Amino acid sequence: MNGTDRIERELTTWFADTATPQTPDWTADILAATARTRQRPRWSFPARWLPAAVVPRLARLTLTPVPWRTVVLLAALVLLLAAAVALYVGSRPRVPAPFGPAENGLVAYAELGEIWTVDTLSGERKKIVTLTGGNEAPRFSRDGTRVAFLRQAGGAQKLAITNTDGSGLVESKGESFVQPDTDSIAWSPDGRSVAVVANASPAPVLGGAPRRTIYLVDTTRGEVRDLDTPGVDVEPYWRPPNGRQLMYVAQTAEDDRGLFIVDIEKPGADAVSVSEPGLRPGGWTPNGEQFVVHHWGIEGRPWTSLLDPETGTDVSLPIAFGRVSNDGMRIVGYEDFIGEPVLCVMSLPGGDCAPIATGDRVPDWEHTAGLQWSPDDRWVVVYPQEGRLGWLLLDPEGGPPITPVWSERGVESWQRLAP
Amino acid sequence: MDQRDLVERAGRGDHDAFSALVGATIAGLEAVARLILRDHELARDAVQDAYIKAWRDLPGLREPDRFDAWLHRLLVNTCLDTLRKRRRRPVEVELAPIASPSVGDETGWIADRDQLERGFRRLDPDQRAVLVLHYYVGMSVPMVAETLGVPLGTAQSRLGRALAALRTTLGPEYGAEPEPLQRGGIA
Repeated sequence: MNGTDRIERELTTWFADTATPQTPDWTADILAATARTRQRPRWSFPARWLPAAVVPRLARLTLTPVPWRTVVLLAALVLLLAAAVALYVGSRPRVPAPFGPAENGLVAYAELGEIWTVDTLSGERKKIVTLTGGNEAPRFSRDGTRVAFLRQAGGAQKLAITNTDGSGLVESKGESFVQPDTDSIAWSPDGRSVAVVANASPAPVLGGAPRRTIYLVDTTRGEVRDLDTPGVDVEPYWRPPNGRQLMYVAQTAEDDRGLFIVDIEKPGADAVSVSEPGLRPGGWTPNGEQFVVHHWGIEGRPWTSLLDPETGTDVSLPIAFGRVSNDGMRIVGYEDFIGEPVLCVMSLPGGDCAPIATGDRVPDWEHTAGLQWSPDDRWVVVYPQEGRLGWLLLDPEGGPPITPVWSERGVESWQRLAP
Repeated sequence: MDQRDLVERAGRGDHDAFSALVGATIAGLEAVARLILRDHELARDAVQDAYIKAWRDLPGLREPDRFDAWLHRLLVNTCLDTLRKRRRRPVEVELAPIASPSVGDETGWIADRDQLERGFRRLDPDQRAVLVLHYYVGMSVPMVAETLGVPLGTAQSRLGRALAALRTTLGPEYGAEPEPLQRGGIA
């Protein structure tokens, strides 16, 4: 006899010895209880009218006890988790998408080597960077939570990043930037990098022309990477929506410029357009499908085109130095620039251009930051007559202009807030 | 009158027929409940609940010949519910043998029975139910599976695990495997 046989025998014997069936003396109580209980009507049992094949499955379903305690516990855990997530998300500041319309926030500017912000409604100023040395060219990140600026201290030119209250300073590491272009400072959509154009290192020997290149500064570690974009001139533009590419203009010959696109994860850049004198970049449309290009025509008349870099097709617009609104629906630019300059707004993809300013209120086109849209597209910001009138807000619908309380302070960068 | 007739009449509301069914089955049912629950009072409550459910739902029983299996299912489910509800409340179970042993080596028998009792108490309620239905009621394993409403494989594995657990409690003479060496241990 093996162990299993023995244990089965022992078990059977033990059951029989310890549980001899005896009719309990409370049988009458049970019968009394059942006599008081009403039977369920026969029609209320699905087994009585459902097909026989269905009944066993149904019976298993109905007889399986629902683990209510577990269900309630799981539900409580899910609720707790949802509450924690809601609390976490709610505690984080809401930020706008990197592209598209946003609410108007603070305006940032530099003054006497310090960085200031001003409340656009109250005019209240706040100094956010008081570091020794010269600090200039503040630029809000696309989500409005940080500011990048150029910082000159101890003979070195660095790119610095802080939170909007001046805390959390990060400086670019490595060599000093040589002749950085203040207009070139551009935040990536995800806020991880800031692009800046400066002379490449090392400097050419025997006093040759310096090579210009785009540097990317890691905004959390300060590490600097050379994108190796020889001849880059003026500002680069991150391509919406993910910012994996940068569009820039580079010198291709003594008097020629070409449009180039570089993938930040791959070496080398691709030429997008043929060389053309006076070519200038005007930024991406918010959907990243077209790039705004500013040309000088053969007859000496400036115009704007919307170029699809993948197909090479473009849409030409009879305005100069156009700037596309944050919602991508309108473009503001100069009409009849050579004669009497008029600033006008045109719907995209084209049509009549409605004047919004003439005469003294038309800004100097050479000032890159002198023509821009407010984050909410409610205003076109201009800086006419080299600032003699201060900063003005023009109504793109043709209404009267506004001289804001911060008119004398300038708009080097306008903070975007969540709508 | 046979059981089938009694079941059909009880299903049509004849309480006398149901009383006859109770009289014929309550002793065995009470013993099953007592074995699974190891407590007289709990067993009494479980049996009462099972009969009340049986009376209430008897009109829905399509196959009167399966009354016994159906009644055992009601009872076992009631017992398992009882144990689940009381799992967080430790209960000292009553261990009063109803009949006296009748074997020669009384000391050895008592020692083995104590171990068997301890091992049985340590089993999951589901495993206890399988053992009771198979070795006490005498149901085949497929019948046990049908009574419990579980697949045959589940009933077989519960039975196997229950026996293995009892063997471990009772020792090598009942076929228990020696404890394996720990990795890196010294023989």
